[in-house]
Amino acid sequence: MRSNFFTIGIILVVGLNMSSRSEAQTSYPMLMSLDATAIQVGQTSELTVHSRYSMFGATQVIVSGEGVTCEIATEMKLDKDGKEPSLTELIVRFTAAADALTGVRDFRINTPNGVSTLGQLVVTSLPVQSEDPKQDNNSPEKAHEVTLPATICGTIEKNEDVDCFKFHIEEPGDWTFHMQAMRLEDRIHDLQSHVDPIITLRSSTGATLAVCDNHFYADPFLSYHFDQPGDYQIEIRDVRYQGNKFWSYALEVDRNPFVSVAYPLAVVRGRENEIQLLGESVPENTISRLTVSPESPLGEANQPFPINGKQSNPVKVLVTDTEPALESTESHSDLETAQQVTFPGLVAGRILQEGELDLYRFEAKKDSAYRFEILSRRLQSSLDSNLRILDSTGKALLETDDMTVFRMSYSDSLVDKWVAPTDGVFYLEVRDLHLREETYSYLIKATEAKPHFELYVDTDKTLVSPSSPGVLLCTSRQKKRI
Amino acid sequence: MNGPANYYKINKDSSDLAESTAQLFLGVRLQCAKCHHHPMEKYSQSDYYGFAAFFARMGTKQSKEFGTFGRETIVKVLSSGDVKHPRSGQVMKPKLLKGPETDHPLDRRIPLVEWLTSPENPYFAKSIVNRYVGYLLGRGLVEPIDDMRDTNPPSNVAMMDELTKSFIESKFNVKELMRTIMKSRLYQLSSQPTVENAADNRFYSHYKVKRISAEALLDAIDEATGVQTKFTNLPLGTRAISLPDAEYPNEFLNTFGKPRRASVCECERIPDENLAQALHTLNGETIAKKISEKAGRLSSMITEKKTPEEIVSEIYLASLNRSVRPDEQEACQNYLKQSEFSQQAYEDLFWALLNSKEFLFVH
Repeated sequence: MRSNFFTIGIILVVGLNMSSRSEAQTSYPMLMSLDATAIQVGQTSELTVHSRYSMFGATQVIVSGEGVTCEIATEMKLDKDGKEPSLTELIVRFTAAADALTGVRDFRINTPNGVSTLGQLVVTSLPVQSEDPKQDNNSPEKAHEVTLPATICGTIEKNEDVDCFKFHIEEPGDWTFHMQAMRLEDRIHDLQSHVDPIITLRSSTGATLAVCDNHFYADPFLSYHFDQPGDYQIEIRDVRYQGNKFWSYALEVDRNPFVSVAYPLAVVRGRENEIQLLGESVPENTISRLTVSPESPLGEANQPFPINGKQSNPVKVLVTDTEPALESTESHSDLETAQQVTFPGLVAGRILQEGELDLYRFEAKKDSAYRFEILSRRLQSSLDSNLRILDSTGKALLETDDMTVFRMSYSDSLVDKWVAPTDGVFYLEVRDLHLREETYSYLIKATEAKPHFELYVDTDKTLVSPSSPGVLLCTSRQKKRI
Repeated sequence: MNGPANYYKINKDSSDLAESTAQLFLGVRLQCAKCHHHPMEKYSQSDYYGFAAFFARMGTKQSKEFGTFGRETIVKVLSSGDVKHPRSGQVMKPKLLKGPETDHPLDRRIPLVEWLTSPENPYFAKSIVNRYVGYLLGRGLVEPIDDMRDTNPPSNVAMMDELTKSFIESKFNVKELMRTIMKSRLYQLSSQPTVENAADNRFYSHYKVKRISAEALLDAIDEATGVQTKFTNLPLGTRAISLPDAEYPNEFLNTFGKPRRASVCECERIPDENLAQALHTLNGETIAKKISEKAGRLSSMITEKKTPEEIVSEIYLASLNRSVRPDEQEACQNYLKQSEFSQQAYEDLFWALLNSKEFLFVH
């Protein structure tokens, strides 16, 4: 998904006809934040992009995916001396179609100094209500009033900043509070320090009703049942009380269930898929049926699922042509009960209980080589997987924890190459490293280990300048000998 | 940073973890047994390293999932790792204190925790009971309160046994334990000693007067004066008892013995009053500045032109949590009159209340 977008973006930019500039050495703009950081579907909103290095002369905004467009709203004017101003705040006008996919979009701004680094926009189904930066809302007494459901946008702009919002609940019921802040900063090139948000739900008298620090990585998520109608407050801050003018957030507060993860984590193209939707606010045994088009791109996708006639929030899944083997509903936690599977193949499993072990039995020929990969964390499940290969006696032949892809490490596990030492039966064991009691979903992707290489596109440094060849920094890594 | 992970961040190896866990949860100081078996005590080096073996497989890994520059540390259980006896070189199996060897293929701490919190555990409940007796009555049945051993028996064995039994029966309900202690006759005894029991400081014959702890005292001064202390990098209004860790230097808190949280020992908190503390409240800046602060309680009342009687009543209530008595009101008014009701006179009066034993001590 990420590579696809960048490749397309670069091709588009290189194809543009822009005038050459003498200040070619001036850096392309590095986008730092978007204020407000969300737009509601079916709406047009003027938002402010903040950058390092000037965006003066910007002509175009490129947005990933379908259904969201953007145009430059700031009028480009030379200053009184006839010189170009350093334009690090730019008003842009985003429009999201009524049927636009909700979730996070990437965007770049095309300027005479080159194409900017990435910015990120949250597309939401809820009305956006933004913090007024001119009004103090640092204490419960000064809380800004919001009407729910809403996506509350703001900035934790300075040290000790606490953003307080008050709201009214009309009737008892379940509500979810989904924060996107830290995850919006992952791809901001020049942001050295990242937000670590925490949200606190309080009664009208200030009593703490619920607190969440980390759920989706550092971003919190709360599911709360209000027993009583009345006035309440939500408090948003950095857990360390730090701040930064570029730390924008979008807090989606909604009555609809929020789907955290799907089971199985893979959907097969060209047929109907039966998917169980999981999450704190999702009723048990919520099943959704989704037909995936044969033309859908393979790989990671953000996929909304139909529930009760509505579309859920987008959930990460793997779009595949390989039919996944579903985990047995019977316990398969030891050698005797291990579930028989065939590799190469795809297995979809879940961890449902504290300390649960999932064992899969497979047969392999001597010297046959396999590549085993767990996909879970990268598909929105919070599993910190631990993967072991056992021989027929239960002796561990190999154990692996985290995996590294280029500069990033993930809690998913990878065995790049495992060679069967003998003909026989072996076992694959999957568990949560911390033996936690949560619902996790995972995929085991077992393929034949072949020589291959990995190609990384360093998306921050596109170095595409107008009317000249673009330079794209790529890194290839040979994995196993070709 | 979460609490449990922080425990493993501070206690970096199996020895630190064994010593801290034993002292914190069992009230047992194992440190001496690391090097020798003290002839008067029951724990040997084998006991020490057998207990340390429960933590031999604790490790950490780095994560970039909270941001590329975050460099978070994740605490994890390793699949291997052992502790060796320093003399014999023997690989030690995890062993409960004066109990059997035990193990778990995924996490050795699982049987340890099951034993630790079992109703049959001989240490845990007693340790917690003793701590709360110490916190609430000013002195534990065993002192120091985290040093329980055969050679340091409780001052009242029957009381210790009964409270422990009750605590276990309540399924380790700490609120219930506190309720039991605070509803007792001992807790409600006068702090005024009689001739007969004046020398006693061990058997709870009268309530033991103690200074309010550092954090609560600073918060009480803030509340009384209406001037909140600002801690660096924390919003105004954060109370001293809510400080997240020890990284918020404050002269008042340091002087009054706020622990630095470098160890689990209760001895980190200085229990006794000292000259530096007395000088700080008498001559230090903390109280003096807060009393004279323009936005503070006293200045506000004077600005609002409240009557001298109203001002005296309010500063009594704010500092001593009680109404001023008629004789006190009369004395205060006489003093204020002599001083021509100057602001300085009001400040002196307020200062005297905040330096009184009634304000500074739990009595």
